[in-house]
Amino acid sequence: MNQLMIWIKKEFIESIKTKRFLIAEIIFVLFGLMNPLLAKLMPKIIGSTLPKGASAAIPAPTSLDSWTQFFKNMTQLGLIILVILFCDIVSHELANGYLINFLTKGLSRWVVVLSKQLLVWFVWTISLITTFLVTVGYTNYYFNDHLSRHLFLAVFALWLFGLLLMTVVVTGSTVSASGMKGLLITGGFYALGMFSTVFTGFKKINPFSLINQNMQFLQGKQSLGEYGVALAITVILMLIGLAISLILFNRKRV
Amino acid sequence: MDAITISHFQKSFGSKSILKDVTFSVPQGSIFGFAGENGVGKTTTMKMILGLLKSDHGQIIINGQQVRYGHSVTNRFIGYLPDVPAFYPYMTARQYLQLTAAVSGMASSQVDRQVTSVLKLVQLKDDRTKISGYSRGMKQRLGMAVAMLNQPDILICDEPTSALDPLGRKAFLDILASLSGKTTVIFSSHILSDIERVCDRVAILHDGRIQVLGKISTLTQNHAKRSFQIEFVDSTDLERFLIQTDLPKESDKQTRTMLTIQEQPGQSIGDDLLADLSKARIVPKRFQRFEPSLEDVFLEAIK
Repeated sequence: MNQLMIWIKKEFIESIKTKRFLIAEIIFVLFGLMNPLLAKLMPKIIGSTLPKGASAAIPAPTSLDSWTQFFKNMTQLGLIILVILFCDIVSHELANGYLINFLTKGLSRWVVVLSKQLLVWFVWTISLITTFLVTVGYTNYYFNDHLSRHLFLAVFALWLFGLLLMTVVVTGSTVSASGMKGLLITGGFYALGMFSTVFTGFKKINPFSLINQNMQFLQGKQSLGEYGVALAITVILMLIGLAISLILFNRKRV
Repeated sequence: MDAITISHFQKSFGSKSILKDVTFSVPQGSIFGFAGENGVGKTTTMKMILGLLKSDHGQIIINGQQVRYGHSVTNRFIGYLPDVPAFYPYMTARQYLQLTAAVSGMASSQVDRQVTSVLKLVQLKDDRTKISGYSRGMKQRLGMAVAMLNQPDILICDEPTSALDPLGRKAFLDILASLSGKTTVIFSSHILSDIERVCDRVAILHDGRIQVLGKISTLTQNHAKRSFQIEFVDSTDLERFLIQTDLPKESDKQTRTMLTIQEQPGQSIGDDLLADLSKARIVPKRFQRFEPSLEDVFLEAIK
């Protein structure tokens, strides 16, 4: 446990020194600012491209538009940026031989994997909280309505899915010898998962529903409780991914 | 007593057999050279001693305890310096050593004192310079500091001098020589002059087996031959000398004016050669005696 604390601290310092954490935070703050602003400006932008008179038909923006932007940015950009930033988190250490000194000094291999996993989960959680808080603040400032009733449940679903994707990032990086291969593994998982949402019959058990149905959860049109199996499968997949990383890393030549 | 005992060790990568049957032991306190050509399996052997690679067959005993893959119990006796030590570039030497000390479980009250001590041992400045700004030689010395941090009984150095310039190499070998008698050192290298300079014993690995093992002084006496080289003023002198001397069978006429003669074990031909030169009234341009070296032993072993 002592080694785990030491290595988590090392991973956290490394993410600061290598600017990965800073880059993630800056991008996610910008998302937080952009979400309500784009929602506010979008009708005007669209209106300016339409003929006179037609723009009057565009409805006034609401907080739902801001949260639509939030979920779109998080799932289409935010998560992908984090995947790119951390796709070589394990392979980089192995390829450069950084771990030999520490493994020969008694560092347990599971400590390396678990601390990296905890770091990427932490960075995702902090990044999401940052964007969320900035979006909440500006959305309330621009749109003081009460349409977004189940905000926390909708964001919780996104957070849990993000944890799964960050687990796949670490697994992909452990399996592969380079960041590019790790990126391809995570990208493949994401692409296949998004494709699987076509089969609507499985949506209640599909973890990708957690990022597909956010607006439905937000407005209370669908209850997150109905997706209990999808939530459970997401957690199970995370545990399986972590177990694969631990087993594979234990067999890796350093 | 032996610090390390390796018995009938075998290792293959795929269909390629690297170590076929490796057996040797390293006496406590000795500086033990581990020589062999590039790619012969020296690093593989080192990594197996450290439990970083699985063996196919055989066992390694360190200070009476068996090495097991993935378990670091025996590593508490060992300091390891890889051929190209890699460090987190954003750290300073002190930060890196502090992290290493913490991971190894060193008591926090000892860390600063021990870090200062090893930095002094390897003559590395304790300043705010990031490791990214270090030269190759400085990184090698930091690697040595890391290896020595826990005051190990055994130090394993895997080709530590191969990429150093002559000054860096000298400095490094001096540090290694200073450990003689205090720490058991395994010094793996293909640079035989380095091994000869600091080691008292050597094992030569070739074709997956230890071909030669023992004290360097004994091996050079028994395996290698002393030789003499005579350079004559012209070819006529050389021909006259060959008529005069009765040692032409062991001679090897290298050029028109140069003759190299190898001494057979138990023979002493130096005086005879000088006498033959004198009898033939020849004053050579140069007369030189070559002492047997580890290189001769090595070349003999891998024949």
